[in-house]
Amino acid sequence: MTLNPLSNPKGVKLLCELCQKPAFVQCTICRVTYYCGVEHQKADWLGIHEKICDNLALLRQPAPFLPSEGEREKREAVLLDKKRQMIDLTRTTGQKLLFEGKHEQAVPAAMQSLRFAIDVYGLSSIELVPSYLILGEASIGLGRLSQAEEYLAQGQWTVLKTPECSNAIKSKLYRNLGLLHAAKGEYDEALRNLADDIYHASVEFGTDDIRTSGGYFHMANVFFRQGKMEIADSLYRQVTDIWYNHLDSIVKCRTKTPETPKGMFYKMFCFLDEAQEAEAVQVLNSIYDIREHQPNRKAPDLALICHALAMLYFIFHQVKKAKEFGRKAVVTSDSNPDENFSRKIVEFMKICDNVK
Amino acid sequence: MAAILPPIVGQRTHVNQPPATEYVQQKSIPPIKGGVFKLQPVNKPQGKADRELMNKRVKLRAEQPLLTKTHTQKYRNTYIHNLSLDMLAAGFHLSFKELFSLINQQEADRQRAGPESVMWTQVMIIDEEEKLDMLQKYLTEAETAERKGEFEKVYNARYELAVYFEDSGDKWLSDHFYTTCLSTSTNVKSDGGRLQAEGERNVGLALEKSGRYFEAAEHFELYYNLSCNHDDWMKDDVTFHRDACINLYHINSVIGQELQDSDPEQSLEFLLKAFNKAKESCDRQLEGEAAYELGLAYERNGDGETALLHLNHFLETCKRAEDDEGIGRACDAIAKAYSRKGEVKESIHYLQQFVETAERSKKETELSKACHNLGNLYNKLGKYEEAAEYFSKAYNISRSLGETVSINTNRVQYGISMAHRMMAGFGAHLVDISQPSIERIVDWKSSRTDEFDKPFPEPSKSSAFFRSLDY
Repeated sequence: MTLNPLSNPKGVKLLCELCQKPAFVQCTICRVTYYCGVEHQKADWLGIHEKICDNLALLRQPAPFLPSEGEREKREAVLLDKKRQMIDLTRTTGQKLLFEGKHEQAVPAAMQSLRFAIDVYGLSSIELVPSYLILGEASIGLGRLSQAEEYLAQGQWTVLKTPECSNAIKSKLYRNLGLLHAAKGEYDEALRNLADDIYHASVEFGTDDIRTSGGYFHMANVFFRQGKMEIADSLYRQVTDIWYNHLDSIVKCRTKTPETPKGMFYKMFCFLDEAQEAEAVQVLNSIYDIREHQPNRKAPDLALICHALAMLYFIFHQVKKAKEFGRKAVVTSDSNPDENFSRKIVEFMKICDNVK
Repeated sequence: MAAILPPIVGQRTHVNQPPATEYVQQKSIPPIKGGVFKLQPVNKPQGKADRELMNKRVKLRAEQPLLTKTHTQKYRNTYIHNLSLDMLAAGFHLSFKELFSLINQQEADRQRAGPESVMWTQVMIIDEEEKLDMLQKYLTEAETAERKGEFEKVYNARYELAVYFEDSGDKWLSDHFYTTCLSTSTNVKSDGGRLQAEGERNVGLALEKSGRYFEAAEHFELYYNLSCNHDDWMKDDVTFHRDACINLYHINSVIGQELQDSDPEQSLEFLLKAFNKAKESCDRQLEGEAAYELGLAYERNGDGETALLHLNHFLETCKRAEDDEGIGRACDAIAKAYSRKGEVKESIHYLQQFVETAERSKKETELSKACHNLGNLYNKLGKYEEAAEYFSKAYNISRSLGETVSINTNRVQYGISMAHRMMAGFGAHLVDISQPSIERIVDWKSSRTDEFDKPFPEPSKSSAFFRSLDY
């Protein structure tokens, strides 16, 4: 719906959601979001607005007149809760888009999450850092390094000022700094930052967690670009192992629990959130590509990554693709003397056949 | 409706550009509530003193070197953090993983042990920089070698670590590295299992030291199997095969001793195994030793015949090696075995041999023991003369040695044997109701001199007087 800035009520300036310029378009669904043009509206819709449109109406409406103190407090609490949910949702969306390589689309989501976070926690809170990190990562992906540096510097400063900041946030920060340096071509600095990432993630989650594996993966990429194939190879193997074990436990958990209680599937360890799913797809596929184009690859490595991918697609209920990778794993592991592994694949294929 | 107003100037320019790229460029940081922060100008120093102070500060700052990020990190982070960063940045992620899990495990063990335990106050590896440095050095070395597939080098690096920690008294870590040594060595195929054998041996020794004898025995068993057909494997002039035998003998005999009280049957089995391994090692002395233990065990189980067989074997080996101490022990044990069987003569024979060897080798303690035993035996036989003689010998020796316990026992025994010896005379005197005998008993009562052996004086008148009173 088009708007004219001149016809706005006096004192009200309607600004574009993305660039903060005078708005000419209004979202017809929620009626509380404005854009400078159709392009921005479209970008925002694809990025995040589609998911939060319904909720925004509630959050942005002017407060209705509530006569009692209790009711006002209640409404405050509801809004705060809603905002917290929004932060989580927008962040996960942003992260997911990043893993899918859609850096541009991730920006609106990250901006939105930052806005909510500032609203809830204030300006200098540590809670803002994840949003800065997503923005930073998106900027790196878009090739705007100086801007990325700005975001990350902001994040780092906040972290430095907050000594009790959790290791998870530190690890993410260092991961992004590492990526930034890698994009700039400063590999040594990148490695040091990624090392910091792995250290913090290990302290928080342990060395064999999927949340630590990201650091290993990026580090492997840096070594790969430096031409240190041996190190990169061993790091890729580590990443594959971590994902393999994790997916294996998920598959086991799903196939063993009886089908009846649906809610059971959403236990912590039976479940990947959207960002993790996207990360798994990205990481495993790129490792698979590398392994396939390696001239001197080892059969067990390829078999392992194929099996891991097969399990991943099985979890996504894409049985056809899962079977395809499963077959590949069987073929590559034919020459493999490891009995245990072959048996595992065969078992997995049986499960695939049973599902349909 | 009014005509649509022309778009504001500038709007058209960004229509042509990709929209999403633009808003990020324009706004690097999203809008911040509360307006723009302005930088305040630095307060300029007012007076002369202020200016001087400022100049001084600037000068001092100029003298300090500029620090890079790495330097500041070094200062800010803990030692282990920096160490991990160095390792990871060089790509040694497996080393990092191992170190990390070691540290975590130690901490977990400590927490489990609780604040009451010894572990609570122990210095953790995380605080020992020297050890951490060693770990870093050799772990990275091992990882480099492992990447190239040179497992022998991996083994050597890990072995170094194990030895280092063993020397510095950190048993837990050295055990860990011995175990990883073993798992590495299984990858080395080129030398026919030599490294694996070494690994098994080290793990076995480590387990033996921590008192897990049965597991240790298993590892030694594997070590033995690996080294069985390779007589050319040497270390310090000892073939692996022989070393394996010796180790197996030790562990089996230890297990045998452990089980002695709880399960004599099994204990015997283990001792027999030990004996066989000792035999195989071609070490006479060891074989003898094993035979001795086996003999003792048989005797405890009441199988005197077999015990004697083995003990005699031990005696022979000792004689051949001219080991006086061993001969003594052998004679002692054999004598005991005979005495239990009731063949006192044999027993005495061996004990006398024991005494002889002890005298010859000037082993005072042994001699005292031998004399004591011999005395006991004579005592039992009723030959109190000899018993008293030997007990007095034993008593004198132990008195010269100054061992309170043996002095006391010998003193008592000596006393008993003397009393026994006196008993016959005393009894005779008591039965014989004549005046001199009674007088003599009374004398003895007052002065405690043993004169019962002396012949009676010629019957005198007084005794005749007594006799006449009787009738």
